[in-house]
Amino acid sequence: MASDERPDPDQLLRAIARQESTKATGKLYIFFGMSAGAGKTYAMLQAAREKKAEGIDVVIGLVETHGRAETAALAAGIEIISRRKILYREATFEEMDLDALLKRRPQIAIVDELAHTNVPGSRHPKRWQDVVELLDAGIDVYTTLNVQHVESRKAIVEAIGGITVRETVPDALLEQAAQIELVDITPADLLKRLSEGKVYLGEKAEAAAASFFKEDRLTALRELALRLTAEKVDSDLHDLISTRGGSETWRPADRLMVAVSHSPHSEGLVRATRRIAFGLGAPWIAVHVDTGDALSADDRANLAKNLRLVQELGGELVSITDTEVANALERIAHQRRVTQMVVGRPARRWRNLFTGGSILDQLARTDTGYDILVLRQEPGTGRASASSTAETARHFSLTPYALAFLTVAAIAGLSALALPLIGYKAVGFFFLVSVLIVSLFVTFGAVVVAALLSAMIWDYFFIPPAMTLHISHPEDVMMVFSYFVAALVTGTLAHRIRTRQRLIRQREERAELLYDLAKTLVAQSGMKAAITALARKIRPILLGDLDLFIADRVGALNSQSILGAPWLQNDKERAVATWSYEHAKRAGWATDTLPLAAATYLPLRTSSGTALGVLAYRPEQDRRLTQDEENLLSAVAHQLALSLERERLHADAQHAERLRESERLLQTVVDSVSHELRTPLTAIAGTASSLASSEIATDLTHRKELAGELLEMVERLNRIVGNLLDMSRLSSGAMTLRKDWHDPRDLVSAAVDATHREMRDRELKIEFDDNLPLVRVDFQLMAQAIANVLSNAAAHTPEHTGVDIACRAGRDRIRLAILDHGPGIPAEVLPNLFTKFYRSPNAPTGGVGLGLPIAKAIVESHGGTIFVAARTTQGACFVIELPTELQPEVPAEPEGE
Amino acid sequence: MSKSKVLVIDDETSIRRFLRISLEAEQYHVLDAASGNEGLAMAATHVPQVIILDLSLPDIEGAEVLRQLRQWSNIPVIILTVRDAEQDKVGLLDAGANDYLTKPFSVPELLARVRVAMRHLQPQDNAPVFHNGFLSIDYANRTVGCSGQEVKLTVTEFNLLAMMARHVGKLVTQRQLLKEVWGPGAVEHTHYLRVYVGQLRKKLEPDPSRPILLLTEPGIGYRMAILQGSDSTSCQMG
Repeated sequence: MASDERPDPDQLLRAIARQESTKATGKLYIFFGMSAGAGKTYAMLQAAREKKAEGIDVVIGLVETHGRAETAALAAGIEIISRRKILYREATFEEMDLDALLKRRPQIAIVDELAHTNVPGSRHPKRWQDVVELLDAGIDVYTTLNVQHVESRKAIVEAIGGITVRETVPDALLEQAAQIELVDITPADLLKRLSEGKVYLGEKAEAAAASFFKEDRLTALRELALRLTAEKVDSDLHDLISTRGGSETWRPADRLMVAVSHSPHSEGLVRATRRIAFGLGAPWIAVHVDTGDALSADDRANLAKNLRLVQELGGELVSITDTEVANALERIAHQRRVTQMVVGRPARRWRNLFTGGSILDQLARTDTGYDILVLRQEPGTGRASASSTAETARHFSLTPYALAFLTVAAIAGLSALALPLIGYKAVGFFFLVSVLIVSLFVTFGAVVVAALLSAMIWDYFFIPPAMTLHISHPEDVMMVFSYFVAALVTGTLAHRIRTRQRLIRQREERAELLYDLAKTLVAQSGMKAAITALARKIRPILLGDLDLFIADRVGALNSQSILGAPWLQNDKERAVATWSYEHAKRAGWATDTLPLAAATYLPLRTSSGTALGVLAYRPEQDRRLTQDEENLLSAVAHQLALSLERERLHADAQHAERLRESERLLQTVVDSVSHELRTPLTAIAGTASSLASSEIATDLTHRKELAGELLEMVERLNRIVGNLLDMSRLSSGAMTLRKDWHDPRDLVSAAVDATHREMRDRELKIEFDDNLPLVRVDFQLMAQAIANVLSNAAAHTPEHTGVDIACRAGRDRIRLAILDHGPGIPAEVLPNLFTKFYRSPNAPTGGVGLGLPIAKAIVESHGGTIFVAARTTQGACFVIELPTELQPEVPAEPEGE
Repeated sequence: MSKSKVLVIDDETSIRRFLRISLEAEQYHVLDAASGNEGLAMAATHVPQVIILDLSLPDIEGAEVLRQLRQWSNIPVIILTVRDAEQDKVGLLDAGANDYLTKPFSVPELLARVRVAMRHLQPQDNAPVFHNGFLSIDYANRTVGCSGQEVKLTVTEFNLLAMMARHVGKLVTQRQLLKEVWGPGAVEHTHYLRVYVGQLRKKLEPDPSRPILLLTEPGIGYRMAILQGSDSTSCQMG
């Protein structure tokens, strides 16, 4: 069957992604051993020497020789990057100098002890994160690792060795490794080396080592290391086969799912799921269902830790809200086509009787297409059981119980007063009401207590014989019993409805908040206004400040933030922002990268994965962010990224539109201009050749006439070129207005000067109002606009007719009227008067139809209007109206000396 | 007296040629250079009285030539620019250029600028009374006459007019005027100039809407024109 031969697309994609990523990023070689003393560093250095002998650029980022001569001898001859000194709590520590190494950019970097924890103040808390950065930069890395430091094997090693493992490396990194080389040694040899003092364990470890290095333990560790290496080889082989698409068997598309909660058992379940998934070569997802129960601070911390673990182990995390955990899991499992669900064996809980059984029972009851793997709850570490007790303690708050007790007691008191009127049976209804009311306000436990308590009080005080628990009538026994069940069920239901309502309300509030934020972003024009409004809205919710860095169009992050917040005014914070931007990863406070920063930095990632900027959030005080707050912060970053991207796309579209426009314009220009340019050129050539010819140019007056002709043609050419330049600049948007205060009289006289040759035979009448205000305009452009209108008047009216210019001050504008005494404007020309390259049918030569459109563009870019006024007399009347702004202050002084 | 030397720095051969013809016709000794570095070298060896400098040169920017020149010399420099470069012009004028011409320009215009530049090379004439056409200024008594009749000016108006008169014929930038008359704090307040020049024109110009004495150099500054005799025009009355 053809369909059976096809590799799972998911797997194929992952394999391809890995192959591609190994191409772009550096390769990771891990020298892997069962414990200290296996000779990993030695093996690594040997491999490095071989590479160096091949002519490959190998540099030592950091190697711990622990004073062993043979190891040190191997390192000799390989370039070593000197370590960085870090001052922490008045002591100096040495760490690998990541920046120096990145700058040096060798082909292979040697970095010993992958699991090492960096001193606070380093860029990353863990050395493996440094290594990831090296790999991202395209540098191959050789490193060493012990099996006990592998995240998913941590618990087993702790069980075998009776030790606590603090430093771990995520499994995802091992999966990513191009090669894992096992440095194997038999336990007997290792013990021998140990006894010869050839193994360095660190000063503190000496005592612990004695119990750790036992042959049986070492054998178990060795097996663990061998198996892990074998798994890796197996999975690499599988990748190879699935990418090649050979007819080799391929595994059915398994997908595992595990539920994560704040429970301490979750940790073990997650690790186990990862182990099984890796063995199967299957992807796995972890689902967290938020049931709306209020969590204590400890539980929140636990939950965050478990969720982080999922990410560290390379699982996909899905978070949803639902009151019914089983329903939610079912839904996700169905959507994601999960084949195996990992569930912990449930603890026996009596309340499960009322809530429809444990989650396992509920899941098992429905018939869906997945298997259920039931694992025993791993005993876990001491820490886990500690938080387990914390969990039980957390549930116990006295307030709801007190409330339940008081309500029942109050109803009991009232019932005692009303007893003679209503009889003891009706009292039951009062109690039922009390339980219902109580269930609306308190926890589930308190509801049960209220039901039980009310049943007992009813029995003891009211049901005959009173003041004893004994019930005389059998029907009363039935009544009390059914009352208890009814109270319990209605109370539970009411409680559940209330919880669900609260959840829905919370979800609505969250949605509303997000909607509100999105609205705020859209409503504000410009990033500065948007981030200001956002920061104001977010402040009371997240108790901290926001600011934003934006990248410019070439992709460099601006060093100035949008709001210029004072807490960003130092190089350290800005460096964190830059790191976050360049790696498109979150960094700073509350993250694994540069956590000592005052603020946390979220890259504004676009759909294509690149960052457009960085959102900075600084909490008012150092605290842990809740999951909700984390979500909100990411949502804000997401919204900002969207709106930034939208802005960019919009600008790009406008730019493209302008390009198209200018291309179209260019075509029209070429068509229309070539003729108009050639006319004056022909005249110039003719006139100049006449002047050069001695026959024609002997007469002085003749020569003067010819020279005058030349000048006029040249001026015409100059005007055409000027107009073309102006038009292209105006329509491409490249022209920026240099506005300044100017006297309208200056504008008019500059325009008159510019057109003096065309206007030389005409009588100009110029009138100004006495109280003309100043206008804020770009002088050059506005004078050009007026000159174009004047020149238009000169071109379309008979010689020797006059032109009147009048400038009047209005309430909020000045009005400049230019009136000629020509034949006026034909009605059919009017609509096209301001159209580019439009030439009226009977227009004289010498123009290209750009004068008036340019004037219009200039006037309108100043917020003014230009139009042809209704003519009161013969001739055309052009009016330019310019808005007058609030006049600037001029220091007053008295007249005279 | 030997001929005055004019150095032309421009990379366009045709412009150099036409400037040479026009200037030699006016009895100037013309030197020319086709690049900024060559121009600087010639300025140092020949010490011309006036330099005409094109802003776009093949090797170094005209602005840089000016900067280097001003480190050791006060030779008047007239800049040749194209339209729409007001900001550059203003910057260069404030950086020590003496005047500018926008291409295309006419020869009479050029010659007038060269003459003004030469004149300001002469020791400042310290005459107590300044005469220019219908205008007369008595610096000592701080009075201004217009066709022989005294005109009342405010203190600021007088200072402004005197400043322009001291540079008669020459362009004075807005910045220079504002700094001199109102002080360094006012260099951005160009509207002061608009208002006060308007007032001066009303009091002095024969036709304030067509000024002939106090000319505006759009966006750059003002120039007091050198009037040819007082007979053709006269001060406005009233």
